[in-house]
Amino acid sequence: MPDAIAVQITQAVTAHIQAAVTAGSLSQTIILERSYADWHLELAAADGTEAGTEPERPRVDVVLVTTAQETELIARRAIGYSVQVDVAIRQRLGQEMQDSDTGRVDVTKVDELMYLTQQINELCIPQRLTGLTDAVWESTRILVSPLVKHLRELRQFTSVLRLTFRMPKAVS
Amino acid sequence: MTSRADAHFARVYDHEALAFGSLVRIKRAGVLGEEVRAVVADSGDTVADETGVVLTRATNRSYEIAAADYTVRDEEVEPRAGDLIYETINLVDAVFEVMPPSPVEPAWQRLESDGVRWLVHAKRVR
Repeated sequence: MPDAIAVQITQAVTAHIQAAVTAGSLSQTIILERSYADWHLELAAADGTEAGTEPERPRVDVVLVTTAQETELIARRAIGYSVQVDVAIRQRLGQEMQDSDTGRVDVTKVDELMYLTQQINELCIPQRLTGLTDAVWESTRILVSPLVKHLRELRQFTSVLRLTFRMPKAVS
Repeated sequence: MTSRADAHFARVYDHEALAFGSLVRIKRAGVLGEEVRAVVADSGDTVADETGVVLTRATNRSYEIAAADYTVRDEEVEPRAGDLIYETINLVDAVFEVMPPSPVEPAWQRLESDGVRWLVHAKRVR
């Protein structure tokens, strides 16, 4: 059974990022996973192996935006799919990254994760996706980077990119 | 000097902690303290909404701890963000980190003007 266009694109985005990880093109190693966001990342799980220590790697989730898929007729026998995919980068920062008196987070680590976000952002612009060259990148929006609420409340770096791809499909 | 009212409530608190309290240990700068009794004042989960797609969930817990019990290296100290509270819940070891429940609320506060006991807010990290 073939995969739906939306699934193919989400898989291809994941593979595209994984290829960059394998090639060592990113500034940090990451934990990469595709899902439907049918779960919550527990703050406890976002922490490192020992409570209060810095996690080893940022977590990158590739998630299909389930409410924003569009189709249009682009030819007599072809329709175009527009699919949005969110890429969320999250890492809980260690206690040593926060001033215990003022509660302020050390900017150095945040800067590093900002750069990782930029790298992942630029991965898909304006290239075709590895393994799915029919999908054409249309736009990327950095929805948030970083989410200040999480820095303040959870000492967690969070950034989210929203990629939009278009892909034609022949219909009989 | 502790007021008579606070001293009275401190005795009430001692009874409450003995009857309903949980045993917790406080850790700061790698030093884990002795077990003390704390009353779990509140608990619940909050889901931090990011973009409506991916979510992070934090389990909140608040502790009422006698000021005399909040010690590091046997010295009474004020709570502070980053302190770890170890508690066993239903036979499962859990670790909570002292953190403000929201940006506009403090991570800890005195329950009485004389500071007989602390109300400490924490989020589960292990």
